[in-house]
Amino acid sequence: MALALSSEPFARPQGDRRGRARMAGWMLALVLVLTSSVSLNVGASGVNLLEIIGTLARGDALDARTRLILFDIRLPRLAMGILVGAALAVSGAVMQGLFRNPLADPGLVGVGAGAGLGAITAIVLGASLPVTMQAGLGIYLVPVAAFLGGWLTTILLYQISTSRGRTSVAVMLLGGIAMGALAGALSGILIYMADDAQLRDLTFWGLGSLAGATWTKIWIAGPLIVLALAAAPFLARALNGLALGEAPAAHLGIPVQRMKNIAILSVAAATGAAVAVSGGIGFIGIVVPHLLRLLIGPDHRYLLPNAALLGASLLIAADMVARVVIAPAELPIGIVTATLGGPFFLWILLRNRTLLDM
Amino acid sequence: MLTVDHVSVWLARKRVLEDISLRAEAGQITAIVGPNGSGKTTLLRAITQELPYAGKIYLEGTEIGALRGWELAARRAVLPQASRIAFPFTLLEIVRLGLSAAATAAPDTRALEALARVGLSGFEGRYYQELSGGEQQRVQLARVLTQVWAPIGPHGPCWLLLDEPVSSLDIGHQLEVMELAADYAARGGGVIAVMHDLNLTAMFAQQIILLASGHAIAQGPPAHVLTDDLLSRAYGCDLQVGTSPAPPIPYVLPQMARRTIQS
Repeated sequence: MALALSSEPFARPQGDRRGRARMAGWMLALVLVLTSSVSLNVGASGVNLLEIIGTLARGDALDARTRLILFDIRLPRLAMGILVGAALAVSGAVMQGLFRNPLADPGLVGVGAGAGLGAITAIVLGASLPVTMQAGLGIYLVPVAAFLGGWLTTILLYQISTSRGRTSVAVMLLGGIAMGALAGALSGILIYMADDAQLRDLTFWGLGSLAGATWTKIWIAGPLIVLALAAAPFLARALNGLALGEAPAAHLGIPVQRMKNIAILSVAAATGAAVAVSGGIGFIGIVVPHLLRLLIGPDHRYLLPNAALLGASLLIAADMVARVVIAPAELPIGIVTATLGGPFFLWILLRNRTLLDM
Repeated sequence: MLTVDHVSVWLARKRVLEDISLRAEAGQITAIVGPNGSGKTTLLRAITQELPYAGKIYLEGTEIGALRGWELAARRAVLPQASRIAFPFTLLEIVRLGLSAAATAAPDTRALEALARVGLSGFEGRYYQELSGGEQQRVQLARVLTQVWAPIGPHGPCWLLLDEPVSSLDIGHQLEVMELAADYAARGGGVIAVMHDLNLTAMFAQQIILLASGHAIAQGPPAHVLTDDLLSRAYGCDLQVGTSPAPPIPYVLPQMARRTIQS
């Protein structure tokens, strides 16, 4: 197992994985820079970075087409991939820490479906809102509705599965599946009610893709995701404490209830915003934290930032595959993350069965 | 001093602890004993602020509920009963969680020192989940120790609140852990422990509170509390307390007990 291969440059006691975790952070940052550059370089058009750099180095201006492709198509798509990938991975890690269970994932326990229901409601029923409200919310309507949907589902899920301060995992999973099904059914009713134009919106949105990335969408979803990610470092110590249980965490002086509220709010914000702009992209939220726990251990002070980096890199890489495989057409990214993520995850599971039973 | 002043606890509308008062002194081990379901753990949970209660609890004169979580964490640490941990943390990482709540910064080696004190040197790289129940209990004790390492902290004595600290240990480790608690008390700290084992209680506690069905039926030094009459009444069977030769320490043997049918 990888954990046994300890070749630390410093004299650290056995069981101290902080050095390895920091090293992983640097490596993952490098990986993100590399994937980002490659992603900027790849696309249906022949624009490539080296030529652009060459042009700029000669002091020439870029032509309009190159500028358009680089700044209005590839760059927003890259930025969105980074934001969404980081949001999904960190939400997964926070949720798993909160529920003290490696299976909790916003997508798996219905939070994604709840956010989806919010978004679908906004798309289908948004037009029937009073005009003043429409004008007030404007382009923020769909992401805000997705956030509210995700938030309500997370709170409900927590209430259902927690009694007397103890969160039951079985109840959480089953309750989450039930709520996901319910949200799916309600979404179905709304889709049934939708007119043709709305249906087109819904279909594109539901496929799960970064294809529609624009700077506007980034300005809408970005702040929510950045806020949620910024909360993560403050949650790290609390989530570490919660691994011992709620009462022991409180005995360590952690304001447990407040931290739980912040965690729920940030998961809902990040998942809601991510779902709103990219549809449902599965697997990142469960695979990334899991891989990292095997690699650097479960300490959330390192797990959360590393999850953001790895989640972003993975989603960008998946998006590249989605763009290239059947170019000039595109695969929905959800298909890529699931076909690559599924078998890989199974392989990891089989290799680490003993550790996972703990 | 930790003072419990007329505390009652209700769980689901049932009064499970009735009007308990207790004064635990720093420098001593105070044991809470009594049969299953008598309210021992409930009393400890009231003291650790896990359960709501009527009455007052004071830590060195300050009402305990008025202290913030981190202030309390710097002055008392709580050892839970057997506990499951969510993710594969190494022992070193678990023990360091205690350090993160300590009042003063500690050297990096403190966690290793604490593991050594509970007899787990060399285990720091192991996963918590790989250990036996008794070993897990000792790791938790090491974590708790690092949280209030110095028995006398910046705000006066620190406290160890232990919920059945020796319940799943073998006899050697039972003695080791009780000696550790006794040493903590001897150096000025306070220890309150929920105990099942009356003999270890008799050996190590300076003060005992004996509970039965939510009431305190006796309180005082071992010789006063561990008597035939009181124990037989509390545990619902005919018990005879013996006394070991010098130093005289009460002991209770199951061989000398007779089950009586209580009406």
